[in-house]
Amino acid sequence: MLLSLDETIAAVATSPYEGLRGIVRLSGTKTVKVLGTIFNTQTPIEAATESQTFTGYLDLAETKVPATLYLWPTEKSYTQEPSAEIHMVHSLPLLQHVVTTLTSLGVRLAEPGEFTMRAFLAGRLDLTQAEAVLGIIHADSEKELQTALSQLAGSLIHPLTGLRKRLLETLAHIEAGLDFVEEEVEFISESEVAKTLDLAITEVEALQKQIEQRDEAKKRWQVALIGPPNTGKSSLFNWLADKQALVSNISGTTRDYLSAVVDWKGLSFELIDTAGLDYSHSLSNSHLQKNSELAVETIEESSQTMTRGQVEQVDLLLHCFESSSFLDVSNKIRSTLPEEFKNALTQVPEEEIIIVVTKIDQIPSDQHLSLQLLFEQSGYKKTALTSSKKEVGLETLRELVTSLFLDNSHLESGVVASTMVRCRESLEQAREHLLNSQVILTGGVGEELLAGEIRLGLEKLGKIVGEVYTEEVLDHIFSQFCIGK
Amino acid sequence: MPSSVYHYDVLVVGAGHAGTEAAAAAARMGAKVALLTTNLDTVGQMSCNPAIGGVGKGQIVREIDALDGLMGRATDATGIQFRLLNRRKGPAMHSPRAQCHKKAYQSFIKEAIEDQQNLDLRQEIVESILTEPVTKKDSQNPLHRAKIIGVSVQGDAIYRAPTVILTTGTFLSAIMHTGEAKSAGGRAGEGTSRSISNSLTELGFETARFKTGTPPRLNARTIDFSKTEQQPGDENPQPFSFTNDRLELEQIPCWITHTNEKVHSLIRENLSRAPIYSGQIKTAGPRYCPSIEDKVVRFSDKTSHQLFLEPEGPDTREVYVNGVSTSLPRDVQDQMFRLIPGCENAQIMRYGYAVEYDYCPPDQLQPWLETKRVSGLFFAGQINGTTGYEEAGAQGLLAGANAVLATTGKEPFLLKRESAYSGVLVDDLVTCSVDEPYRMFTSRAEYRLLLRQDNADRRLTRLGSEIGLVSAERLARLENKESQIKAIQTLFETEKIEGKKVEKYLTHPEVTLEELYAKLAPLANFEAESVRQAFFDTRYAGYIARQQQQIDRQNRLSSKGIPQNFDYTKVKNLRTEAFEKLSKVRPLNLEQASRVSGVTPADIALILAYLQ
Repeated sequence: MLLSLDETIAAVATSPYEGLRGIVRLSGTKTVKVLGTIFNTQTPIEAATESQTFTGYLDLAETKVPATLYLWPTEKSYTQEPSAEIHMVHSLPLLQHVVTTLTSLGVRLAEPGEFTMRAFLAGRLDLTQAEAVLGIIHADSEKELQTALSQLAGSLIHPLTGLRKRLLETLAHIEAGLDFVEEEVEFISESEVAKTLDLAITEVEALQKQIEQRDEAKKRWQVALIGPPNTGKSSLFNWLADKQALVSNISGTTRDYLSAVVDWKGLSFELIDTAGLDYSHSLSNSHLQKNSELAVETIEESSQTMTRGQVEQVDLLLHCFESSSFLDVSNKIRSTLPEEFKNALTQVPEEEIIIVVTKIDQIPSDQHLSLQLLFEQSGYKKTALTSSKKEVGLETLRELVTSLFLDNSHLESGVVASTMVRCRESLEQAREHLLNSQVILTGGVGEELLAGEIRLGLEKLGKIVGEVYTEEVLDHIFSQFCIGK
Repeated sequence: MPSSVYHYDVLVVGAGHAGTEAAAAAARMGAKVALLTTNLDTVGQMSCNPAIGGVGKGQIVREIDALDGLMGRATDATGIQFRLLNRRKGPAMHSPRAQCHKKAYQSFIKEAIEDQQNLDLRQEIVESILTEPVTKKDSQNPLHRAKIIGVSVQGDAIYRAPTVILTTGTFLSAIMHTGEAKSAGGRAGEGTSRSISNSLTELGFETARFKTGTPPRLNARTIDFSKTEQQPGDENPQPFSFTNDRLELEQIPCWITHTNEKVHSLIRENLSRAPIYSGQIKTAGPRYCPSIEDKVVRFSDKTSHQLFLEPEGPDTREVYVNGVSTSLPRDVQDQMFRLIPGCENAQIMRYGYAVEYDYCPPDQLQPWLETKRVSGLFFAGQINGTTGYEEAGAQGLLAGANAVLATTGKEPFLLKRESAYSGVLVDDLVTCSVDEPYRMFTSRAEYRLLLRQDNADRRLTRLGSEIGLVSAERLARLENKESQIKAIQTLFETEKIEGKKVEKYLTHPEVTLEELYAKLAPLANFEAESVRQAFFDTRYAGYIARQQQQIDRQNRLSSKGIPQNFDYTKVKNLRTEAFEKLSKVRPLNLEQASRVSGVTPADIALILAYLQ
């Protein structure tokens, strides 16, 4: 359970937008002591007797990061206990690194809403305010977890669920051996336990690695341009990217597709062009058409192809269609949308897609309104008519993108950052308990100690994939073994 | 007005394992107690298996004994075979179990009750529970709808008391089944108490039904033991009671035989006549104690099941057949034994049967076992949905103590999960209720490394002594043991073996107690039991310390109390599920609240916010 009020807590507390500052917040009695060890500044922060601002840098294991520290060293703070905010450049991996460093120094990761709780207990909020904030924690923490997990997609949650199940089964068998000694069943052999533990540790370590890589890859929101060939995706890409003068073929990554960082009024994202791909390829590799057959690709093509996993990581798709595809034989806007258009879109969640009509300059301007209406009547509200050539439609597109990100505020990077730290922390603790279990097993110290250790490991994994209940262990035993002396 | 009115502090209805411990505990604390039973010849009867203890259960018996209860002493006095189960595992897993001489056990308990000061044992049939409306003056507890004033009994008499403990076992609206045959009653040859069921319903208690079963008993004269495998008792039997240093007895062995495919076929052919499969019984039985028909159906790939032939005493030929609980018809039971090695000619003395009975879902209770609805009314034992003599005894003892504390206006006696299996038991019952008959398993106790059978006295005797539950003699024994252990621990800290401090040396798992004795001569000056405990404490110190940390963390939450009349509707944004569960369970503090199923940390945060 959470809420040990005397521990020092920390969390990333940043606005969702890159370009703004990244903030890490701390509260608790150890605040000054802990920060004293990692924050370098000319005047030592331990000397502060009242609220004070320091500039200096964070001395982290591999790097030094310039930062500003707002310190409330006494009980005169929002939470009525020593607290601090570290303001620094916004970079998720870096913010996570700071929090991880803090947790290694005896600070605990704050539970959702815990700063609010402390502020309330300190009398900074009245009950109604506190209730309002805490009330949405249910929803938020749920969403937060969903987000983190959906971002990690099948890559993390499936192995974890499997891992938990196997460990739970092993635990159940060990427990059965302890509680039902008089049954003539060998519930589990030592070598089977050893095998499960080996496997579990390998798996946890693989997951840890995966998260690290995932962190690397996931620096900012990703927006991908997709659509049939020759729809003008590349022109659109160059236009959007060029406007920002930030085109870069991000180096040092394993990505072979073209991408650029676009910064719109503090909302920064990575724009990915799937240019050069055949339409069917780009779809077959996305989650849009899961059952389509994989077309045979040349090596060049596949190196250009975003992997399925990559597309799943994308936060938003800009699906491009050429304006002329909506014209009928008499060069008028069609009365209904073409079938292939609908087919391409039916499986995409609405909040993850914007329809971009390209080359709008190629149809008469008196038809633009009809086209817009056609989309609206067909239920596609998020549509932008654009022309890279004439530089039309950028404002509409920008508004659509921004509002989508705001609507999906559960994607809030700060929140996700905390969850990622939490996942990583849980995995590391789980790993330690599993390693201990191995030691206990090989040392022959005792099955009850082994069970205790595996239980702790499961508890840590449980922070990500659900807790362990004694009832669940018992259910396992009774469904698998004939107990009943 | 009835012709006879009797006045007591505490009334106990039912004289089984819960009732006798309840009455004896209340009387030890100096209250004037009446123990009412429908039949003076079945006081403390072992209705099912004539055995006490087992894994998780043996620990409970040691706890009952540490609080000066009857069960441990009765077992020591009447045991015919003693075994320490899980002996090869760590000390937290060591679990004593004993076969008892069934009739002698009963006599021991009855005599102990008869000898107990302040306690009147009476044969009475209770007709109804008497209550009156609560006034503000009576009770600060807003949940109380009525208060207890006593019970009326057959024969125009009433017993008046401010507290009543109901320990009615399986006797509430009980129906027994053997094949197609059904009869009213909670135990073979006995009746049922429908009137108490009715009283409880009238008072607004929710009731539900459980099923349990018992196996046939055979005549040993007709069993060929040469075809079975002998299971002897331990060479050095360990006593259950902390007041006994050793046991001197001639042990009687048990015997093991097996079912086979032929038996299973017979059962399968007759499944339609088994009440649990014919639909005659609709309620669920315990999964850990399935009937033989259940085992055959659910584990159809098993070609054989183990059966234990357990003698019921040295002066009877009756043998309890452990592992073959059944409600199959009599003719099938007879045929079944024809096919079991050693039992081919065995005569059944009592047929097996299943019994369905009412219980009151225990989330209607406070953690001190008083009902939330009626002040002064306590429930203990099977009425709370548990099974087992040990589970019943522990509840009885705690209910007895708490009834006395309630009459004197003192704080209730609550055992924490980290202090006792008995604490885990009661907490599980009142916090999570039950959906199958509740039996203790060590896996239910998250702090089981601390809850050893050997240290039950160190965990509980002093607590019991503080409320007057425990005799001075027992406390003196504890104090002697504690000072010995302290002295031994000092030795461990100061002396060296092979150049290492003893406490370090002991952390090597391969070091045995015998080796320690050989290498540390001064140990010979201490009592063996004290040495053993100091040895266990030191060896597991690291694990114990870690569990202690977990406990400390929990305790911060348990220090935040929730008032009994807390209005959960006032907590805005509390989810409906949490609201419903919490309003029903009414946890005493945030720690208990956090364990109510379906309650999330954010719910706790909300309640905490409101409580501040």
